[in-house]
Amino acid sequence: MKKDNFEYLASVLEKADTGPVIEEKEWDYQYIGAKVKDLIKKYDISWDADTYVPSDDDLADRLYQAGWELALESGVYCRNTKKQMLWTQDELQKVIDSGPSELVVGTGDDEAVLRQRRPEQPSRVTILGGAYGTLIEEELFGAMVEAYAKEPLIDIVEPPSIPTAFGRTIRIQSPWEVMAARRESDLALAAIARAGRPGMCVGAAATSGSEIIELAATSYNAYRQTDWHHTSFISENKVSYADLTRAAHFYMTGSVAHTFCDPIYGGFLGGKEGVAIGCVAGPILLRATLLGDTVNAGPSHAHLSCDTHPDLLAAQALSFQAISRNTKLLKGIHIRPAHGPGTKEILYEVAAMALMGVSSGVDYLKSVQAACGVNMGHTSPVEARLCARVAHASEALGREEANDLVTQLVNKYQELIPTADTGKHFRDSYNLETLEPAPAWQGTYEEVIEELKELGLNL
Amino acid sequence: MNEPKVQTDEFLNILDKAENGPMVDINDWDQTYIYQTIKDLINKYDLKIDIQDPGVPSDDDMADRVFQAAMDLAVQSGVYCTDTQRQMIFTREELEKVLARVPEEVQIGEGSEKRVIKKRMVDQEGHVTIGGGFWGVVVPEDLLLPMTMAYAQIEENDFLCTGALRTTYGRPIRAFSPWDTLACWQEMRTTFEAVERAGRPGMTVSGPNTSASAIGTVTTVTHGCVRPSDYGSVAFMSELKVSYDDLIRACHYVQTNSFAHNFYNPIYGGYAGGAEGVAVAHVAGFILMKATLFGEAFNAGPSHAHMSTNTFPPLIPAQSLAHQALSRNTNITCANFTRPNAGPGEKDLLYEIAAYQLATVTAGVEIATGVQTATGRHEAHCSPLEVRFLIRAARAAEKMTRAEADPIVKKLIALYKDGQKENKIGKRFDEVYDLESLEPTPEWQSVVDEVVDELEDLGLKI
Repeated sequence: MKKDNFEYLASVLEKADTGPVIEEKEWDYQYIGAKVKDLIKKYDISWDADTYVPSDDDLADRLYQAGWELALESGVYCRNTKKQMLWTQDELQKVIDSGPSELVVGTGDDEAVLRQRRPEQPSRVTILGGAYGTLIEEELFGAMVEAYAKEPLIDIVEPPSIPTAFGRTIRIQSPWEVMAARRESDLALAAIARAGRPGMCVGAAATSGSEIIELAATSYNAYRQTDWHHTSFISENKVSYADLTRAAHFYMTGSVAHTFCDPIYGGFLGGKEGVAIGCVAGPILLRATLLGDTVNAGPSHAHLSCDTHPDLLAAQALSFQAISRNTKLLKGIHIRPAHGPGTKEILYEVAAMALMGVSSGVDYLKSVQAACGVNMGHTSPVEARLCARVAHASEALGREEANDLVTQLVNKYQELIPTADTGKHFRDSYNLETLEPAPAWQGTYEEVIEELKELGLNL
Repeated sequence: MNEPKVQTDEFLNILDKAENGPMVDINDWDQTYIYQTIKDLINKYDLKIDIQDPGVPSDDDMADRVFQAAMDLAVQSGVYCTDTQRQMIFTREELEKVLARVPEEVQIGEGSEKRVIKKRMVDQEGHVTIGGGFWGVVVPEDLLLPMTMAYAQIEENDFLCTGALRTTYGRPIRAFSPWDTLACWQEMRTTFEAVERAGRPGMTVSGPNTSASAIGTVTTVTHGCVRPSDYGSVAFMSELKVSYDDLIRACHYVQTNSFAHNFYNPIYGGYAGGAEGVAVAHVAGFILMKATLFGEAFNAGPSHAHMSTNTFPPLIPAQSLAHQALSRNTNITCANFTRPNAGPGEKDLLYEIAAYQLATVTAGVEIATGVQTATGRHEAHCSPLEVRFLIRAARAAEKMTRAEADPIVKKLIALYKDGQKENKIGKRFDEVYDLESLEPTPEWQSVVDEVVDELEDLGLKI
């Protein structure tokens, strides 16, 4: 990708070095907490608690204005320099407008295209499937990636993380990060080749570390510019030098840059209305700060971690509608259910999120960080398969129809979230030789497909 | 390179040493493992360098004893990892195995810019590869492009080492920050543009030099920037220490199967001691860098504790002896590293360069690199004309023996040694070069012509 506005990149880094000095506590309480509270009032951001997929365009537009004002007036906080990074109205508008509305990732026959969608627009969504950084034992990493890549409905694969590289602990900011970067990319690229999709776009790098791991992974004999390279904010709207370095590296190498933030429900943003504003301001600022080609906000419940909590559904739906109606940013939904593989509830959660996101205008779905991604090996391709099927079936649905279906699904899982069953490890939910789901898990999946059909979804 | 630089298991074994070796306090390392061990080895192997009348030693037995002392140092002390405070220990068998598989030739560059660097021996006539450039001298942004073009236009310059930027896009560069990425990319993009404009688009380059952290290397040795066939850099710290940052660089070169040169600057007047100690540390450093960092080419640019230069008179025989030891006992591809005290426009600069080339090329080095003019510490105080002069001196030295070089080197040292105390840093590039024609000013050219005549009177025709 041609990325050559180096003066803009330098100006962003300059903001991180020369903006006003602010204490982090002041940032959290004043620039986020108090500001968001004011914006909720000013723009009258509220909705019926029983609605999960609102259809109020005016509310969506007011939400966008609130998110824009938060982005413009608070900006971003750089944790390394304790500086506030501020943009003018013109700067912010220009950089938002400069983002792609269509993006080709991967290579050759395995290319995938992401295209901008609007709420209720009957056009194809792109499916990302994978474990989203959930840890998996090093020896199972390749098999897991291959199992996802074999799923024909998955357009882009997102690998799990490895806790070790060649059996050794990965010490942060050490040469072990470089070893881990290469180990992960070697295993991932071999896995997609075995699946017959060597040009498939891969989320890179999934293993956590400092900026070193992403820099080392985006190089010769490793991940390619056409892969899906990550950099992010820290909640709320904070950035580190490490993330700015990642962003600069992806920009300079002309790599696809995916940027994300995780606004916290029950944190400094407050409740669902505040999270909705955070989910709009975050993507705007991700584009401005980290020059993301794609953006997403995957809010997190302060205690439960999942983003399928009923209060978070409408907040996300409105934020997608707001961004979709007012920008051409390529935005997606990140699906982080509370339940794990092998349970019916994970499939209900995934289906609800897919229905809500697609009808609200997301361009792509990130599926699925099962059991909130915090249980080693507790993720499987079946839930991503279900997500893809529901998503494509939802492409022609209106928000009101989607809301009816989501309401029924939420009723099936919401009470169980606090005690969610984290399900089974990949080795127990899949046959590691055939890389197909175990009969029990396949049976559960088929049962839920039938239930969804009975609810009226055209699968 | 088609073959992997090193097998994964062997490289993991090295990283394991940095994690699991014995804990050693850094003061203990400096004073016992380096200073005391080197002192004992100098006595054990009866190493003596004449620093009263320094020149080019021709004592093969002494060179071999320096090598033995260095092997002992490498086995007894090994390498110190500063991040983990661990001693990385190598057995003699491990090191001998590493040395045994060093090839007799290495290759840099691609296409018409490909260079095969073949082993040379002491006193052996043979072509020396030239690596001319700034070698990290800091330059303002507006001078980087024309200066680089001027270095690239030197036909006999086989590869080009970049300068370091003072600012990037007009902003200061903060180490260990995203500025490292922006600045190093700017440095390398400008360098590639310069070599293209100079008509040598595939020219091998050595960089980046702007970053103080590993980020600079890791961010630029990648798609669309530094190529695996370029001349990468990763180093030890003095004495025989390695940091995680350098292991990160080495690891990235290994993983991308990129050519890398390893360097190390023993300190004269530091824990290595005097001339003999520097010679031992120099040789041990090459052996241990090959075992730890897996480079393909090596240089040591010993540094005077106060003046930084490596043309300080006692360092001339010390480096010559070290290169003789390596040339006679290993296939390691050795580069000299020219770091004179004087700067552009000064005659002394040329005397220093000539003395250094004669002492090291006759000692068997395969690569002549430089010039880190005026010890590399003064902004833009370097010019391509001294590289042109270096090439002429190195070409003359290629046809000489140590014994032939010795009297000339002694005369040259006599010409510059007193001036070293005066720090004649000379002039900036834009004061000694015409920025439009990218040719030296008549004044600077005439100084060179004068020195060429003086050298002829001394018996050296270049």
